Amino acid sequence: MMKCNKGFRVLCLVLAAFISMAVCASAGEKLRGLEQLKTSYLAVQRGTVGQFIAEDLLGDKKGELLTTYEKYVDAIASLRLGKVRAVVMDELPARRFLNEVKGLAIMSEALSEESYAIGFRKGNAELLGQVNKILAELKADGTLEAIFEKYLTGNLLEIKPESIDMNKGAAKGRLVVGTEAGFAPYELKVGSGYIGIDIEMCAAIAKKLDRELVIENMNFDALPMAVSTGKVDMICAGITVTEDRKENMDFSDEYVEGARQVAVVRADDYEAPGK
Amino acid sequence: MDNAGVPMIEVRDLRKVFGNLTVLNGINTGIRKGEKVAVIGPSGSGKSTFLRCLNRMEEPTSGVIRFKGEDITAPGCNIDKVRRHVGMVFQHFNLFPHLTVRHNITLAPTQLKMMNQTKADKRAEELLARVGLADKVDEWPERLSGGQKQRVAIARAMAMDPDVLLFDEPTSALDPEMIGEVLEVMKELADDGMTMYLVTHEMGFAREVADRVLFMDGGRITEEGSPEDVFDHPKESRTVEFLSKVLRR
Amino acid sequence: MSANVNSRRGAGRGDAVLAVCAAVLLFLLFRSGFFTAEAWDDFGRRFYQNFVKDNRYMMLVDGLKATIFMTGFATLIGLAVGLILSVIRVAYKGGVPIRFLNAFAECYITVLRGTPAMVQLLIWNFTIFASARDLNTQYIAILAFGLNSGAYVAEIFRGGIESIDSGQMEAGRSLGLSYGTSMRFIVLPQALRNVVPMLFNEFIALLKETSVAGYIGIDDLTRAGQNIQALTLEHSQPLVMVAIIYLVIVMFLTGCVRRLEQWLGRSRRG
Repeated sequence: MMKCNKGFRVLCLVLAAFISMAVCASAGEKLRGLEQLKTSYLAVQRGTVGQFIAEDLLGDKKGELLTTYEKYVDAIASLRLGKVRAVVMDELPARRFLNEVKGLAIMSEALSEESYAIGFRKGNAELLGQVNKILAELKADGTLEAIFEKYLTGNLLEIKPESIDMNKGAAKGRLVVGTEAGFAPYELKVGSGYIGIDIEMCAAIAKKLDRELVIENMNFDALPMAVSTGKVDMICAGITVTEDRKENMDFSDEYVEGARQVAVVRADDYEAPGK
Repeated sequence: MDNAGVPMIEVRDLRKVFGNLTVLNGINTGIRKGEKVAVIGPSGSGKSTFLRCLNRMEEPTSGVIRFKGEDITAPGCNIDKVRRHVGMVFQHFNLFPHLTVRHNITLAPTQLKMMNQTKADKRAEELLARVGLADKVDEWPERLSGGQKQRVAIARAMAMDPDVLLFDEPTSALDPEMIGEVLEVMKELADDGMTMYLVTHEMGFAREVADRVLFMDGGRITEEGSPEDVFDHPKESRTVEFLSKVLRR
Repeated sequence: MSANVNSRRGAGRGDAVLAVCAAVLLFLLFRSGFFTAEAWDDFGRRFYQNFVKDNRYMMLVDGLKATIFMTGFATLIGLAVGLILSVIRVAYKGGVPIRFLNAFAECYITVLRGTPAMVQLLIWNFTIFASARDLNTQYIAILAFGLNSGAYVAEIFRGGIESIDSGQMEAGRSLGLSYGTSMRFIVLPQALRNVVPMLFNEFIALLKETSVAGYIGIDDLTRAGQNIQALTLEHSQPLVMVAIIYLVIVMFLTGCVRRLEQWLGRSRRG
């Protein structure tokens, strides 16, 4: 009996130590401009263009200062816990975090402006050609604009996956699209289905191809592998066109231009310029 | 029935080498139907290995072993078939702990399609009655005493209706008070005319039951004869020395 | 009398385990912001957001189904593969001339135990079955986890078989039974009984191992939690809930192992 009590007391001590460590917080000079990010702890989602930008920003110190996470929520969580000072990510998903999570801010200067396109296995010219043609049509007849309108003005979570026509049982087989459904408003898993700008755009493409849209939801850094091995026909996940990526896959025409890459920070750690 | 001139088992120049250790160094012997042969000798003399070669539990290095005229060391020999006719009783019983006494005895006859389960059950009950364990038929081996286990093991070997039984120190692992009951069963088998090879340290029993005694030393049979010859008038000094040590006990 | 003492001591240990579990749970709740003043009011709302609204708990239920489905079938494959491999290795050692098969088995066990399950999963999905697009990814995962588990199960079985006294095989052979028959009816039943608890532990480890399946696009329990995270942008609650679900399952299975061990111990005694 004595022994048990002793063990329990040790356990309590260990727990207390853990808890006190957890309570610790950091303090210091507030962030004002992008220049300070070059010497700050940063977080990104692994494999995203945010990672490339952060690596450029940090230069030699990236090994020490940069943490890459599998998911944006993990990166934001580490920001809130004070493990990093900023998360580099796309603006639209960042805005959604600001709406849902208290105490966050976006630095007013953008880090860069990027374009999104759909990725294909290198040399898959046939599908690439078809998709480019369809993209042009979707742009011309306003379909694409309507999709953006729907997602940027309405309440995202009121859109039901069932409302998107996946073109089930289409005559010409399946169009398998790889994505990472944690990137609202572009793609998001809801219940057992998916919503998002990319999803609706792919549905429209699938319809024109007379193929059934099948979504493969995987980790972002697994997407290039999936498309180059033929696991999926194409990848559509708000993918920024970069020279490095062009080495390993072919891109469609861009369907988003001027997508800002921003730094998400804690509101109490940021002093906006001009204030 | 059997021709008295043809031995049940005939061993010619049997050798067994483990690595660079020669355990059997040219054994020539045999056993006739109904004969009981006791094998005695100091530990390490190769007597257990000799016995285990007879049903090829150990592979002989060279030599010939004939069972009813068939060379069982020949490459084409179906040793499993031979073993059905050569029963073996082990020092440590080796009962199957996951099976009841009944199934210990009936496993081989039923698996080998010699009889169906009903017939095998009946046979098992007969054999158990014969070894004095009729009431243990549905008992688990772990609930039996050492002596009872060895009697079940004998019944298990007998279930195959073997032509010859090989006893490998059947009482060595037993508490002294249990040796008697096992020897009694063996004596009854002997009296019923079973052909038996018996490796043992029970000199009294060997003298009482055996028709012939082999004394082994250093991988050879150094002395062979009737129990009276070997026990009362040993010729070899090694035999004298061994017997004086064992009998003094 | 002595049984009484034993049971009381057993209860004491059980209490300690419960206390540790409760402490860990409290700690996790603390980290998820459960004990800050505003969070007290917030907790219910966030719980509603994460699990109740739009039946989001169904994502966890579906994820749990996928996890159990994968683990269950992977376990079956693992048992079958492990049994075959272990028998090959033991039989070769026992003198059965299957040199080629044995070399294969050894190679298999070395490679699959020597590389992470996650890496194997990726190779199965993106290299070996790269062009098998109509194959459900879950089947690939089942195959990958099952074959991986098979290597571990093989070693468990081999240990179990080798722990059986060689006299058992000898007794079977001496009665004229073949090597295979003796193995099947005498050695394996005893070996199996000995290794059941270890197999159960392997099964539990496998259950947790499947949590990497999200990487190749399977919405298992872990991934379901991440999907809810992406939906509500709430970090802690979904993960803690996922952890609790795993914990409950593992504790249940561990309880089963203990029950099973007791039962086996009793039945062995007769």
